[in-house]
Amino acid sequence: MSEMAYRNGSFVTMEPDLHGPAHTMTESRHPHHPKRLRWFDILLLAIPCVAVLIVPFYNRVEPKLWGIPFFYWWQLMWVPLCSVFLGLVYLRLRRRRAGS
Amino acid sequence: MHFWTIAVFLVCFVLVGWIGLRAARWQSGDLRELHEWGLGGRRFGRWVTWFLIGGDLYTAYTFIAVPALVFGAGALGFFALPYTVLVYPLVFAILPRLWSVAHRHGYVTAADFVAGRYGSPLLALAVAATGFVATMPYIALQLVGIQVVIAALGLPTGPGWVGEIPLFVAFAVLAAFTYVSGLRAPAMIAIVKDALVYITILALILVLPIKLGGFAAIFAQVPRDHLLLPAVHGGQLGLQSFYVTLALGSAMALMFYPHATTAVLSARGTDTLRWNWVFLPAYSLVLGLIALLGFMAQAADLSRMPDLAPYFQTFGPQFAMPGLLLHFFPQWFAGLGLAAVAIGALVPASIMSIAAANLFTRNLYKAYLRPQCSPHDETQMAKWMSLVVKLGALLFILFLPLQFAIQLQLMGGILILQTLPAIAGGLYTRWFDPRALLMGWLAGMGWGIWALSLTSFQKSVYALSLGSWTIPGYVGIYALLLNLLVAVLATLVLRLVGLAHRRDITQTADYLG
Repeated sequence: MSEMAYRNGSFVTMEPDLHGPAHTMTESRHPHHPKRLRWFDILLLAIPCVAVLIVPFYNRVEPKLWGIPFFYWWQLMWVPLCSVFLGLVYLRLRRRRAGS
Repeated sequence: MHFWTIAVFLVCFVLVGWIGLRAARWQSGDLRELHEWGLGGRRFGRWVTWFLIGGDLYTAYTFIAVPALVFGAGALGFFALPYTVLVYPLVFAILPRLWSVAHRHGYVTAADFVAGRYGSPLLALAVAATGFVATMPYIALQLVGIQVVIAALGLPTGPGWVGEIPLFVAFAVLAAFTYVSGLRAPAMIAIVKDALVYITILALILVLPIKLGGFAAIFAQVPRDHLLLPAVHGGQLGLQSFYVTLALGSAMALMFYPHATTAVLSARGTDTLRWNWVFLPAYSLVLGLIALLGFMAQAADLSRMPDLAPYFQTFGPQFAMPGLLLHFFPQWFAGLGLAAVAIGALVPASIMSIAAANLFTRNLYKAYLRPQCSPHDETQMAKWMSLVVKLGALLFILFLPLQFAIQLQLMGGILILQTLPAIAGGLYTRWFDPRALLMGWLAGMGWGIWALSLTSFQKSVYALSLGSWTIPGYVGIYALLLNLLVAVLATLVLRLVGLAHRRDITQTADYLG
């Protein structure tokens, strides 16, 4: 039995993959591949996200910074901080790749 | 008419047109191949990718609309900030997988990936059509940005054909360099655009607070109810839940807009992309500062100035940013700033038309109409299509009310979010059945459009009632939740009755980015 598959912009007939589909197993086959994000990387990425999602916390005027209400400077501050967290994950990934 | 403003503006514009046409020779490849014309040969390195993605995501419409929103609605308009903070961690985690699998299999669009992953041409068509429809009004809005700039220059802007000539000229320049040079043109032009944008914004943000007596004085002018989001009371979450869902939904949608996919796939590798995302928030900082301009326009009471009042009558709050330039700066500098906005419209408009053309050519023309067409025919089709798409956008703003484009763009994000389970889901798992994803897509689209119709397509908010709680949220997020629910349930049913199929030409190792 052969199936239709899509490659490079057109459908081609191909033989079925004898090893079966690569679905639910996708992650578990390469648990320690250097290019994969680990739970600590995900945590680092989640921190800036959480910081700008907690609206009830930052929806206030005081404390002000140079006359700018808290609501505004808190969110502005998290832009460069987001870069810092992304940079940390980037360096962790690069170090792992160099080590492998 | 402001002579020096127009002169400086024209010099910038001619320079950009020339660069765009010359770009065809840069890092030259065979432009008769789609991945060369439409993805720049997948060879863009760190710096070019940085300018390209920055020029792509932070559009002229952003520069006009964000201060306009803050000027008009206050704190709610600041949602652009959490939106751009959220987007980078998301893309950092997810999109390298898309680049990796696309590189391995020669995919040019996200719909190509869906077709390969699920072996379902119909699902791929749904994804491609969604992307195409969502992109069209976005291109039209870029032309609106150019229109506002043309008006600010003191040139006529309609009605009648004579008034439209400046817009036609801008359109011709855009069409020519996109057709000739493909993605290389916006990539090169983005460098000029960014230099102009950074100069303009730095000047605005340094000069204006001094002229207006400091930030404390500026914020003192802001009405109390505009300064913060309204407090939660009695189970009514009000604007707070809307703010969060709008930021989150917009960030998730941005990832899978076709023009974002095009820019991401044109990078040299996943390391290039990740390096970029570490430094791209620099643009978000600029965006945040631009948002504050809305308050400065309010503090300066711009809309009551006799020389600017007529503009505000025509364009409303959209004139806040150009108004600040015209009022507070010398003529030549206003020309520079307005050129930054106009060129800021050309770059994304070009990338969007390329992305839409890629979608049409790959996922409709080649998949359905002419499967046997040669790679060169395919590219020629995409080049023609990029012209058709832009012409459509031009006719759109010439003959339909502006409100139409804005409403469709509002709907665009909601539509794009409905492709998320297929694309983002597919990057992690092949558990979903393509038919189930199609059903979820239909449910999300149908419900989303219905929910928008409740506000006559004016607002993208839906007030969900849960017991004694009222949770107003972004329609796109609620539609996505419904979409996911349907897709999960339908997949479970198909699996239980043994009808789920497992066609998939990608392999586990393809996703390691």
